[in-house]
Amino acid sequence: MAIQDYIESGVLEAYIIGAASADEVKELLYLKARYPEINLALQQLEADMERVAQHMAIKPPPGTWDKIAQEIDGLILRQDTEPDTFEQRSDRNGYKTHKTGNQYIEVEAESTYMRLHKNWKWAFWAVFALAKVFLVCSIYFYLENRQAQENIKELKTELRQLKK
Amino acid sequence: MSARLLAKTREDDRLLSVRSLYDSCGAMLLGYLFEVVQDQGIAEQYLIDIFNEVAKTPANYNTNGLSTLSQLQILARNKLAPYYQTVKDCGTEQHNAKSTTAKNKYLSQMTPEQQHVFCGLHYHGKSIAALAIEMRKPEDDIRKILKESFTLIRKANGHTGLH
Repeated sequence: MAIQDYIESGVLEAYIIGAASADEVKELLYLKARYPEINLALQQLEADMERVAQHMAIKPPPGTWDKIAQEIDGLILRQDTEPDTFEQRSDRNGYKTHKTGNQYIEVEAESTYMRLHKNWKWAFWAVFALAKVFLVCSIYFYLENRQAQENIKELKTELRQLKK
Repeated sequence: MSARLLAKTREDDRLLSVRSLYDSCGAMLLGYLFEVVQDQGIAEQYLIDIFNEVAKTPANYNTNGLSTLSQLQILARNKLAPYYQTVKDCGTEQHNAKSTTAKNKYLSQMTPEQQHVFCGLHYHGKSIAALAIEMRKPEDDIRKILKESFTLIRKANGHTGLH
């Protein structure tokens, strides 16, 4: 196949625009490496597309980059914290020790993070323990009250029988 | 340098490389996205999604032969794939009412047929095979029409081209 015919076929344009099939791309990459004319033609087509894109360009609104950077920071933070926080290793006695990692517990909320100090863990435990104590107390007093009510009912019955 | 500091440096480099891509191609990509979705807010959201995707694999955007803009546009087409079905074809009144295509000095020089092929492939993510069926022409003819479109773009810039 003559290279000029190949260039004229429109395959290069289809490739640049992302509409070439997998076989066409494979063939084109092979020919591009072999024939500098094809490489040059592709560069010119890319320059043409860039001119069209520049002509249609719209400046992103202020704050768009901040939104992107925020998402990337979140991505980096997730990648950075996961291995350190959850890494485990065994000591000589076979006990597993946990690496302490960051001093913050990360709580996921929608697309951002809320950071809490690890000291809050003890406050959460205290609230949990108090809730358990109150639950046991309330069950105990409920049973006591029910017993007392039954006793009163029995006493009233006895009194009625005595009056008769 | 500790592993953590090295990792931090790499992450800073990644942010800088994405910022560099954003500065050089962000406006052009937003223009492309707007031309497809015809809504500034939706186009901006797609732009954010695309650069977040870029941040996950920044190294790939310099190595596979295509220019950065072309690669970003291909990534945009993949992201926009579900959206294409809702987009009106170039040349229809509903599309032209909102689109900047009619004001584009390159596209306005094309014949309706050339515009249909160029826009169908570039802005609406259609395949050459789909366009061939739609226009009842062989695929080779569609490629020829696409090539003519590019020739007009080049002529609009005052270049005659080497091929």
